Amino acid sequence: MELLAGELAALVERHRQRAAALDATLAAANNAARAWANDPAGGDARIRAAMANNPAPYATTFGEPPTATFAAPPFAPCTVVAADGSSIDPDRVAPVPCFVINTGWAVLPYRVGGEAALGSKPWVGPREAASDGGEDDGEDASPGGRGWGVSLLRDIEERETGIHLARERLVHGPVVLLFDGTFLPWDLDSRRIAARVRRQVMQRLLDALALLATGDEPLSAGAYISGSRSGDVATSLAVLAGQDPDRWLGADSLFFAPLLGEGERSALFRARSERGQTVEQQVPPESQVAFFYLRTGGDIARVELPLWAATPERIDRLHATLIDQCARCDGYPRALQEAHEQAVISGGDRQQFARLLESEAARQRVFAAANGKQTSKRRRAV
Amino acid sequence: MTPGPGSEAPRVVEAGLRSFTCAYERYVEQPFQLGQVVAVREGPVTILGCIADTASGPEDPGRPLQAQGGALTAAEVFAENPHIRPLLRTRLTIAACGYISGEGALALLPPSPPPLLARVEPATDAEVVHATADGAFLALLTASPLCDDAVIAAAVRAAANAHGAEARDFTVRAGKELARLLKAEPARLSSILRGVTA
Repeated sequence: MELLAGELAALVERHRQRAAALDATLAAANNAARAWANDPAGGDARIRAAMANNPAPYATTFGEPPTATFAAPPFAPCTVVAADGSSIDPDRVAPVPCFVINTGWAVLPYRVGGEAALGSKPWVGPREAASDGGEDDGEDASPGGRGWGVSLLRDIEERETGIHLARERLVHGPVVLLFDGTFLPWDLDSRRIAARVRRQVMQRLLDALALLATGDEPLSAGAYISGSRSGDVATSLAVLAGQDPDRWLGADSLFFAPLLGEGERSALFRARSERGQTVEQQVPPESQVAFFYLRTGGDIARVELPLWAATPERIDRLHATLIDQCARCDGYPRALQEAHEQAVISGGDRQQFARLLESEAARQRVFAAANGKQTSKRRRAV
Repeated sequence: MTPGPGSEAPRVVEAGLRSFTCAYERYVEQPFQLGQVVAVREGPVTILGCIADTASGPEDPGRPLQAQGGALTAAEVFAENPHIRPLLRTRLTIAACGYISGEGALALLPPSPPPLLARVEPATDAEVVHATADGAFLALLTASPLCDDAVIAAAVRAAANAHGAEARDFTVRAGKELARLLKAEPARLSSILRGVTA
């Protein structure tokens, strides 16, 4: 520890210098943003030109000046629905390769009908015999590997669960549906996941999005990213300021932190990318993503929503509900917190599952291959 | 997720011959009352028990309930915070006080514990009268470490209600039985009788 302590002073000094340099960058970013606000179409055109043959994510305006801020409307009665997931990833030293996904949910009615519900649904996979895959099955699609796409399956289960619960509750009045993380599951374009899995999940996603995006019902939807490090707006501002995006603001939150007052949201932006075969390009236009930033306490959160949900009434409901939810739960939406609590698989649960699996495998005379490193770690004898 | 028919009944979650614990699926403000006789009808015999204690609180001890709400009433706090109620449970501790097998009611410990997850229901007046008429059930209650003076007094009062017009006669018989059982503990007897006539 003495060796590390000696390095801390220099580390903090470097950070301080970077922060000081940030002030000048922020001033330039503000100038670029003001110019963009004065001529949104011209700014967007310059950004689209910079996107050509560039895989980086950018942002363009979406009907609101990029420097605009909006106070939270009053919270109105609604049901807040949230879904979140947790998983046990495949253990390569387990006697039988498998995984667990547990999807938790929270349905919380605020001054509307219906009962509150908290719950979770766990399941064990794979549900079909594992395959070594074939063409285009990713670089690690072997049984027990990432080819199963556990995180992707967890994402789609969350969305299906939340969407079905949200639609059920519309009979009681307005509904706000929340997810944790991005609105679209970005692992859908990961080549480390077997193509067969990605195809199946994409079809399930399209079905779920179609179910969500129906009619004129009072349904708002948003995906909440606390402490977001995304840089779409910062990259666009760099283009407009004639700067190198790689040597510019690291994250959008640095730009919006001084701009947003407590409870305020930023303007809406469109997420843009020219990267080939992005997830967004594979979903219907109405389910592509817009986003805004939101200040709750010290947190600058990014909120993603499908384009069909970017109507003034739906955005106001989402904005007001998120501020109310965060006030109820120390700066994070209460419904997401409760869904997480339902989903979480504790360390004890993980160990118990491993023991159950070993026990069942032994009963059927299936044993794990000897693994000296694992055995040694368990003993830790001197 | 919608509660099914009859889901309000608490269920046995810990089972023993002398006592058992049951839990509602949620927090309930009006659980079975202290001293009330309840029945578990799902085993080979109908086991009767007396409510000895009730406790409500968070299901997860790692998430204690925070006092909150300012000037709001409890009902208003629950309405404003709908996530709280599903996280709470109400549990009841029940002292066994007899069982019914066929036509006969016996003031004895049951031959086996109630099945886990069996529903716990109020005993009917007829069952209570059948099981308590001679006061013999008090032997099990006075011997139970779960039953202090207040529980036994409440049990006599609750049983007397089931006896209807015969309530006074039943109470006199119960008093005599208590006097016999507690002749070496006059202070305890007095305390229970005060509770019975309160």
